[in-house]
Amino acid sequence: MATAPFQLWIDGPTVATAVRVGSTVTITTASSHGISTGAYVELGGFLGTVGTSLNSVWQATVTSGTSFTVTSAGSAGTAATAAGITTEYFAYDLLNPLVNYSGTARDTALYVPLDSLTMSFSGDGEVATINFTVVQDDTPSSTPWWLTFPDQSRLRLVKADTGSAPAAGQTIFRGIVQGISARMTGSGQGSIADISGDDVNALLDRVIIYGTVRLN
Amino acid sequence: MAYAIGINTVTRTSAGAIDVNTSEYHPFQVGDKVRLHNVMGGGTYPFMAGNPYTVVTITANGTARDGVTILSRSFQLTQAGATEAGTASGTAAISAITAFGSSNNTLQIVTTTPHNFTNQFNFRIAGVTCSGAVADRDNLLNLINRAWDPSDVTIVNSTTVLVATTKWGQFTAGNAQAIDVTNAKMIVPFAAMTCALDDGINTSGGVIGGIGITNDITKRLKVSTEGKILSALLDLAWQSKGTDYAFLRLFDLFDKTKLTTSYAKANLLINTSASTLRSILDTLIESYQAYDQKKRRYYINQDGQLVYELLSDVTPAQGNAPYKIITSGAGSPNNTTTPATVAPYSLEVSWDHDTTKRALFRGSNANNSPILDLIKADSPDALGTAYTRSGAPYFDDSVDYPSGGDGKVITRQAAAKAYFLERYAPVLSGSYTLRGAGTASYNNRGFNAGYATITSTITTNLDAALIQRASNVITVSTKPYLHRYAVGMTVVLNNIKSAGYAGTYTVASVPSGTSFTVASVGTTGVAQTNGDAYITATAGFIRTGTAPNQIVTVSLPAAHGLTTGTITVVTGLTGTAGTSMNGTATITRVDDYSFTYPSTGTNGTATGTPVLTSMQLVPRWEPGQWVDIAAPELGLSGLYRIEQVDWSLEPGSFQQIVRVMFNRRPTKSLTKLLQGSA
Repeated sequence: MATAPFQLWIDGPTVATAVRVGSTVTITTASSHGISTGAYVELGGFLGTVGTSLNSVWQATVTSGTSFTVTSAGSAGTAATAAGITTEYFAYDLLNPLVNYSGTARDTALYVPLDSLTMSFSGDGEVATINFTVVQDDTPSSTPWWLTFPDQSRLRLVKADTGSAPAAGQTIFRGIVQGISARMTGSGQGSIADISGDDVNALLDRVIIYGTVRLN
Repeated sequence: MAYAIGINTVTRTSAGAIDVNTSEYHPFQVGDKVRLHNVMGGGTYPFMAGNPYTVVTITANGTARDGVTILSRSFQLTQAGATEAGTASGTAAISAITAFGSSNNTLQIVTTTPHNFTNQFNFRIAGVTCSGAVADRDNLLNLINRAWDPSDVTIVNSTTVLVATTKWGQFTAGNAQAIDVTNAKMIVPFAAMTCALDDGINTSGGVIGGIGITNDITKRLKVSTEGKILSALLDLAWQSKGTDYAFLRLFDLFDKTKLTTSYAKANLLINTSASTLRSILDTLIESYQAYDQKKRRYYINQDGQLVYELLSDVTPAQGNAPYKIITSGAGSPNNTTTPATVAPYSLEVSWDHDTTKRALFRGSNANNSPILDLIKADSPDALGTAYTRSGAPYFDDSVDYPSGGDGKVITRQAAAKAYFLERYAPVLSGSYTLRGAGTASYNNRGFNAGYATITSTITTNLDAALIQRASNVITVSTKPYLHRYAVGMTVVLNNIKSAGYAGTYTVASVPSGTSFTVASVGTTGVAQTNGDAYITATAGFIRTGTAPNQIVTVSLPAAHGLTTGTITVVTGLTGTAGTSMNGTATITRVDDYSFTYPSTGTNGTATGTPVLTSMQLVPRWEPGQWVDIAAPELGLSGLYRIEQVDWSLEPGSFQQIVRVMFNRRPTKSLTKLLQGSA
């Protein structure tokens, strides 16, 4: 496995189910997940015996546009999820080196030119920004990858090696996708997407306080 | 969630009018929608069935204060259709207690009449007996006939709750007949009945959404403490974002451990329209800053916590220097108390001459009101020498501040100070560049990480909801707020009217997260207060063990935010045990509110006024950190505050480039501003 000293995670679409049979866990997403075989994915927020054993970083094998598998030994069954609200998520690492993808998957793999990755922090509590470019040489027949993740999806830049689970104190950027500007590659078969993100302080501008606070 | 007010009695007349008598002054106005909580009884028309109610009458049995608020402990509601007179009973008969499912550690309690619990469901069970021969009978009954903590209770419906208890062999589905509930009751203790604003809707005043969006001064937001209002704002945000988990992955609206608990009893009135959380936080800062001239900042940190804190404008001591930038030598990144040194690229400085200004304030909200020169009229030292270089001329700036008119010099001065703190902060600014490899060593200790100086909160203030003494023990309730106190901490009870309660105590026990006890010889009773009683708590330092393996356990009333291995400087401790606890230590984190460090000396509890200053590695360079720069070639010497950081990778590699911009604030002049007479 080739490693990078950073991980750049973006949250994917909602997870519908996570089911373990033997040591194979099949993750089914509610819509197209946009990843290729060899991508590193982080699963988090799953509950119960099966679920908590999945909350880590895995290398995925894509089985369809809305499902992929990871190898994880443990109790068989379906991972529990929270009632009422969706806590579980899956994210994928955009800084995963291309060599980690299988030969046939490299055409649709996502990679970030390193010199495109920049951040800027200004002032106390002001919104910090992150910018990077993602190249996909061949757009899958389903849909361009940047249409697969939810609006304002979560972004995290972490100081950790490829494939390892992020630990406390390693995150150097947490925020959301603010905008996407995409164009075709020179071959006309893929896309080059410039992604801009705002850090978590942008949420202060997106919460409207509604109600009365009257304290004596 | 709105702030809950305790209820003493709830009484309904045959006409359907419900009189509510509260245990403290309530904030309600006529037309407010109010929801009752944990009010039992009502017969055919349970009191809880009428929720939410509309306040129809306020009974003023107190004194007007500030010309704004009528202090009242009673109000009247109307329950449509209810013609049955009655009083909230405080008790509900129990019809059955059975083991829940196949477990032997959960009981199902069913009441004859609706218990109507919604939240804060403190209750006690009494009167349960055993109908047959049961092994260890007394212990079994003591296990049931007691007060239950809300954390052990699950509400199933209006007549059923589940309680989690110690595993017990008798609690099996086949042996439930051992429990006799003939005389069993569920009893609501004093202060469990509460009422609170339902959702901020005032039906008569048209206040729908927003904080005090009305010209009616009686409906404006009235602030008592900074921590309270911040906590309430997060609660309001939770109401709209509580199911938005994608949002909550980034911003934890439940976590209030990083909010200042400053007890600024300023009687401020803040009138703002419904707006973004950032806008309202800015309003708070402007208001409090104008009041106490202490600079504040807020941000969401990497753990998703809202941090709202006071900023010290005092330059950190050299011993806590976070990072040293030098123009000679190879540098020595490290994580000890000695500043790490780095020779940077592209060190440069700039001077901003545009900061030489004076402010003109409009003196009244009347037309053609005079323009007041703040500098000459109110605060001759406001600009200070640091703002004027080599006799440079002043450039005027006009500030529209009409409420500072009518001779309100002090108000005008306070506003001016807040204005200058924001408007004219930087004079000297500069930048440097760091370039480093992506190896673990440098990631952790050098080029893209900085040190943050953390001054831990040692003393906090918290409102006391109820102070009562029995058997020479004072029990203090801090509901609805968690107190975070530990045994051995020093607490001071303030604003108490009844004799024999106010004073300084040591926490003796902590029965729950919202109550604690202290030893105090005196008569049994409930303390009367002068307005809001509050507790001032100070961190506790206790040394235990046998030399040379002794440790000091530090318990703080606020989250310390430190990790194991952090270098901490302890000063200010006195006493036989305390003096030798001062010094530099490497801490071991116990939990968010406690840590230990090795220290030999006399065992015991320290006295004095402790100060904890820590230097902790943080994962990135960021605004707010300090950097120590020694570059005499550019006139740089001393500590500078970081204002902006740009980060990138070199093309084709993981070599990092960090551009750090800093400035030097005119601290001497700002100190004058902060220490003004207003």
